Amino acid sequence: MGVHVFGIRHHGPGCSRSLVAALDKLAPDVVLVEGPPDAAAVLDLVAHADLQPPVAILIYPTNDPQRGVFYPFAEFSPEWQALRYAQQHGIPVRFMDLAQRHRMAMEQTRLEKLIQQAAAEQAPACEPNGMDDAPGEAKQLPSAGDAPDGTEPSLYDDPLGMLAVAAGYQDHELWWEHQIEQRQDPSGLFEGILEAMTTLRQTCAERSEYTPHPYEAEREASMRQIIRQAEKDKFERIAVVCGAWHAPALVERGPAAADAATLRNLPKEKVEATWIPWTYSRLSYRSGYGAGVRSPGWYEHLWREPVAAPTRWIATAARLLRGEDLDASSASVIEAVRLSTALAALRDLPLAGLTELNEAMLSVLCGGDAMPLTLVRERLEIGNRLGSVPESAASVPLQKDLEAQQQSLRLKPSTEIKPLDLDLRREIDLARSRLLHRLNLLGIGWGAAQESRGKAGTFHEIWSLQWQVEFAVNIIEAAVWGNTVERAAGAAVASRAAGLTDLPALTGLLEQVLLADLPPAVGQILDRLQAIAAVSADVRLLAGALPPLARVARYSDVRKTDAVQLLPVIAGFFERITVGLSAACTSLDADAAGEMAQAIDQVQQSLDLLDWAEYRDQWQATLVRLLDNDAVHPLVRGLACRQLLEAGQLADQTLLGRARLELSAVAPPEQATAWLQGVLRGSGMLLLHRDTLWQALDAWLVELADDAFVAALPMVRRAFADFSGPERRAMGDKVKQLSASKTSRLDSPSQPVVSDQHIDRARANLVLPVLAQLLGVSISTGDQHG
Amino acid sequence: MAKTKSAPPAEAAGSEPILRRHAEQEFAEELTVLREHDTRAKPPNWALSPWAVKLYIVGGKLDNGFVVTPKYIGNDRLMEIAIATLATDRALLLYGLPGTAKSWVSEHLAAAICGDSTLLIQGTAGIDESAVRYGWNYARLLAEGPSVDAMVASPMMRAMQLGKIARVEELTRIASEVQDSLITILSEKALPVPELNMEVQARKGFSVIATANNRDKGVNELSSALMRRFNTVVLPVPEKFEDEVDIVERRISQLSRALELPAEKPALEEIRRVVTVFRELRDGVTLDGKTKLKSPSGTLSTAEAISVMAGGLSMAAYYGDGVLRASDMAASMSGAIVKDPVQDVIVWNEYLQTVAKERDGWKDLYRACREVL
Repeated sequence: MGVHVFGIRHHGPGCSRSLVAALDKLAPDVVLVEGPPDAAAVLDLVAHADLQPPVAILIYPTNDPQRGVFYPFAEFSPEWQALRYAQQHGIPVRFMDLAQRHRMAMEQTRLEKLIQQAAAEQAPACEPNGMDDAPGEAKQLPSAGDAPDGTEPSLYDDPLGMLAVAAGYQDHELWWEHQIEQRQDPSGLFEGILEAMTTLRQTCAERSEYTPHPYEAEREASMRQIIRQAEKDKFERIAVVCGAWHAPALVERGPAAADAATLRNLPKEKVEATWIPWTYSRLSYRSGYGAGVRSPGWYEHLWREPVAAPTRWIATAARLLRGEDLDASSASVIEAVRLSTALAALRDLPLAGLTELNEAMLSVLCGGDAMPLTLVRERLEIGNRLGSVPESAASVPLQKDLEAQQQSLRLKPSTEIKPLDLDLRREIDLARSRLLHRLNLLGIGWGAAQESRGKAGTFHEIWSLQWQVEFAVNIIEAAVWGNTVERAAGAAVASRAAGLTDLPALTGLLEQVLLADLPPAVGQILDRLQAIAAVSADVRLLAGALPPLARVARYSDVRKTDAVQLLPVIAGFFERITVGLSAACTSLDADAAGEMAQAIDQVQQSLDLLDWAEYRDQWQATLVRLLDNDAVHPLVRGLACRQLLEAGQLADQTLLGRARLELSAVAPPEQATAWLQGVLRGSGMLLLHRDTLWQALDAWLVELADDAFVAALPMVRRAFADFSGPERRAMGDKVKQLSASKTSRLDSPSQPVVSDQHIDRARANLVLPVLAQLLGVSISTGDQHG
Repeated sequence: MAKTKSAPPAEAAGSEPILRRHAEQEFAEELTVLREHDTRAKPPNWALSPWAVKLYIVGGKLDNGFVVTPKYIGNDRLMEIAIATLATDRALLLYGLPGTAKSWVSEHLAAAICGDSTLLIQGTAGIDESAVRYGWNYARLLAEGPSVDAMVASPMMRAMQLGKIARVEELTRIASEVQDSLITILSEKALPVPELNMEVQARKGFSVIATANNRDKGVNELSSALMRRFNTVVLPVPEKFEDEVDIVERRISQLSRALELPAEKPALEEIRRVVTVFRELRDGVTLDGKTKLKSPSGTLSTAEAISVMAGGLSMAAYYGDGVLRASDMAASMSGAIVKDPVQDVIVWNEYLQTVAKERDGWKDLYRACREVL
């Protein structure tokens, strides 16, 4: 019977359905699938009950796992269905693409050449030798390290785009969906695809601007050779499942000698293959199978519900909305289905597609509000399905990277709890700390950081280590983020940061990331911080986020983090706080005022830490504005007074004036005490050393009417409650002397009052030399004064 | 308006000069040509097929080269949803900010679908049920007793009898109890008249287009029962920066001619700046997408950008040197942005500090605006 070629689109559910029907009809005795032959060893696992899509085959060079390539499969992928078919019918299945052991080696050589070329181009200005290369390849150069695989640029993955444009579609996916996936009658589909592709390839070959995929010749040669091998092995009905683009090249196979020549002497490196679990959200990433899928959940729906897919889709969406307490009545579902059908008719489509359904739901179910629709997009269109792989699947590169690091850092995993004391000044301990922090970010809680006690803080980290068997699973899960611990942690954090919306959580994450030393993630979190800060109306949150940032900016030295990128963010925070502060401080109740006072303290601390003259002035100007604003809570006014006083920006006379105003008899006692609380902030020192304040307080207490005094007493007590014992004693002494020294005080307000009379000068002289030595001054020749 | 006093356009000759003509009069020729060339299936009682209606609204070219002017510039897909809604005999609710062409679209849809955009109920807080259902000619009612002749049909009732489109403007301004009388009409497509023991059943082709704006405060929120009977299409503000600049520029040059301002036409650069400020504040993000911003409480529609420019122009003309400068616009710009004296000042201040201050060539605008704040 010979060879039957089925050109498909990767991850197309319509294609899958047609393919299954075609395979049933053909009953092949071998199935060849476009995929890496390197993975032949793990193909048996398809039969394993624990291998549940979405999963991916991961192929990576043994000595450099970072260059791994993923081949994801969803339940609706034609390739997966082909594999399942072969496994269910007990017939052999083979992968027939160019083996990754060659491809990776070739890619590596090519990249090295490009890097050399780029270097050569940069040195002597504009040598035109680079012009011969395809522009797409040149552009790929900077990103080559980032891409998890290093496959072709996207334009070439989508030759169908040309057909779509010819058909008047702007969206290639949409064209394919209308033409192929929504096709009700699958007969003749593969013939049609083959014919279209043949014409397309001919046209492309004639056009000079078309550049073939990298390695296209080698890949197709390999596919043809493997088909020939199957023929040689006496298989009679050979089913070939490949990307639509390759189909014509596999039908007209030509002479074997040419292909053998193409494949001769290809470079080679050792690779390994394994299955890893995949997620729908990552299915949309570009990887081994080229362009990703935008709406995996929708495709799965199309695959599972071939009949009345649109109606069921809207009904499912309505259930989802109802689950979130949004109105979605059955009547609305009916109307949404009607509208989607009418829209499809207006657009001359056989069936309502995802666009029509979304538009209908937006209009009917959501009343024009796009928010509920994003829910549908996230939960249904993309979906959150996570695949699983059997435990027997070989270990992932992340695991190997971790093992390598454990060895080089001499950290052995053990299920016992072990303490670990790290001195961050030592290179190896710093690296250990980094590893542990990164693993924590990946949800692998091997080490738990302990409070460091006793030893001088910043250089030491105390950890408690305990390895748990479940970590093996965590590592496999984390493997979707990257193939090394560093990269995986970076990607995981970036994705987490993108989902966070509150500032304290973000700054907390930022601190962790700085500890884990992941510079690219730092940049992403900073961007996110700025974006959130811009829309945050809450000055308290902004202020709360400030101290960690300031700390990092100031003390970046131990871990050598680059603090420069933090500075603009901090500056932005300051700007926003100074603009919003006075409005945020008005009309507060006592609790809110307490929080606001804390926020002001935090800003002040950060400013003190950073010591920026420009912002200090701006900040002080803002505080001065608070002083006179009656709508501001007295606690906050008092605190502003205190901060200005400490900064030396408030003269004693002004303080006295303010204190008299705030503590005047007109002011309700609870406001006066709140102000006092703000000024004192739990420390009596100010009161002891600023006599103006002392006097004002004294005058206020004396002037209070009896019942007002009784009423105010608990609050005054509260304001004084946090004073330390010595402070209270000193205050008591001061009160004792109050009457005696009252008159002299105004003349020399800040001089301590000491009386000469009780001093034994002879004995006092004895201690003077020691005292002088301690203070580092010389005494004037035995002369003494009081 | 001196210019409109000149001779009326040729096709309206003989009739009274009218300030503004209905859509179906203004674009009578286009509608006629479209009708002649329309070969596709029409829903019952529609003058045009849905495809022709779409062509009329979004503009285009017929096979014979006849050019249909676009009535709505924006997303075609929205118009498709609107037309498909009416084709499925559902009521359509056009929702959006003030100045997003809701009434304009509603008028043209009615004109294209049934050739009549005049069955209009203007929603106000003052209208009662008789404006939506029917009223009575009391002289006749007293003289002859209740009869069909004594009944005064509302535009809604007439639309039902004729199988045409009824338009309801500013639906959210109508008192809730009057809104409720729409529910039966929309679901049963019938209007009972208990006084005469009869009912009016809608003929095929009847539907309702309502408009409402979602920014006004103090409006009567639509009940979910009523909301459910409408398909909602939200008309957005102009999507592209260049579109909006274009709209402002055209309108400003018309205005300055109409107002006969002795000022120079504003530099495109100034228009771009105003539109930039408005768009950035409205969208809550800078045009380059890098910095997020807070949005003020006002709408900041294109119409307001136009009035800021107009205000700036007259400042420049009467108190400045005739050339529009940042200082001429600062006051009206701040006035347009700061609608809430507390929150909006913060927003505007933050914008000036974090965005305007740093931007190249915006120093003058920054200083001028800081001065008026």
